Amino acid sequence: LTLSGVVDISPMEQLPLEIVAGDGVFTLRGELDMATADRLSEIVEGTTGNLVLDLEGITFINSSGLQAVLTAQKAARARGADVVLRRPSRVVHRVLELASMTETFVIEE
Amino acid sequence: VTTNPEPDGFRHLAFPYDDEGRFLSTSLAFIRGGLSVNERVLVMVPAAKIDSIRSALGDDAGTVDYVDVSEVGRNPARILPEWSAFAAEANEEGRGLRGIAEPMTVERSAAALAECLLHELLVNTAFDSGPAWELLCPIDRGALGAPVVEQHHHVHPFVSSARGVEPNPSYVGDLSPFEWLPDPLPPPATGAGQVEFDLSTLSALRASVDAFGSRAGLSPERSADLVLAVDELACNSVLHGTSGGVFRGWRENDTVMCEVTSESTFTDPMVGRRRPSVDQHQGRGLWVVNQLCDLVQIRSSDGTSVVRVEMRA
Repeated sequence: LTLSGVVDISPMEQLPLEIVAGDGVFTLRGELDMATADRLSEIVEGTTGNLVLDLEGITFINSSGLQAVLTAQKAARARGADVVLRRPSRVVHRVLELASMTETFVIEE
Repeated sequence: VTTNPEPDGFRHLAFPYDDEGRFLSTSLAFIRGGLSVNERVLVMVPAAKIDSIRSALGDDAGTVDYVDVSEVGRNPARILPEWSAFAAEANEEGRGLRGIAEPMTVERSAAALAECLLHELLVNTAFDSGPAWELLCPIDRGALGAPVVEQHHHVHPFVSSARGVEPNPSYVGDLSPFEWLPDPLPPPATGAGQVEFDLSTLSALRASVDAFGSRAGLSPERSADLVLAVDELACNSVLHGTSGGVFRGWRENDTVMCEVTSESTFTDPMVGRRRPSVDQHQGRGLWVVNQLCDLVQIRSSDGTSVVRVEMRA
């Protein structure tokens, strides 16, 4: 069992994280990882009230992704608001649990 | 066991035994010694031994906590947080504590036994400067063989024998696991797949690992776990290394093996063994890897680090 044939991993064309804004909710689809986590801080800057992140379409997240959400939460709380995770996908729940962060965020199912 | 009536610190005791009778009598005396002074007692041994201790304790069985070490401690790196949590709980209750731990059993692979030894070494690092308590570590001398029993002896500052408890003159001292275990890991199998990565190719690396995991016989759920574990290691390489690293994957019998190599240096001997606090920012990566994998081996020397993980198919 080897990986021969898949050794060429040039960067892929598709955008691994899509963020759509609407009705005070940011809908995230795709992969929230170390490479895409910075894009979360961009949307945090322009938000005044609660930052609601719809995570139903997240297909991959890791501890760097959760760290970015934590940074967003810190910024939101500093201005008296909060981060709300709406409908986290199964992988989000799994990583929250593994990272010992089930109590960290406000979650809306 | 005759113990010092007023121990002035944490005492980590090697207890080599030759037969089950001696294991049981020493363990029972140790447990009853704790119960008699209202200490919390945790017994973390294989399931069969839990059964024999429970039935020998009779009416007292319910006042002791038990953990099946072959379940919770399948990855030996998951054992230390259990003891930390137990010690914290007892301290909060204002009670003393003691424990029995036998993670090193004949069922373990050589690699897993090596990680058990590192765990034993880190027990000293974790508790030496804290409150006084005793952890008795039985090891089956006949089943495990002289070299392993001798190494087990070296990582315990105290020994429990028929003569009682004595300091261990051949204890290696408070070494970090990166200093103490110089043996390099055996090389990956011939024909192991290999992928170089950096920040821009993490997503593609995950796709490669997922394909590899499925072909190696992992269920879709476990393959996703492997992807997450390798990704966390790769992120660490990108963050702490020279920008990227190399992933290798292969299979040994029923076990899927992966490793990530990078030019980086591990400095925290306890990395991945402290349960992260709720709002802690960094340092969750290796904790997550330890929860996911059946075995995790970290080796770091001369500016190169390798983390090898195992997952049973």
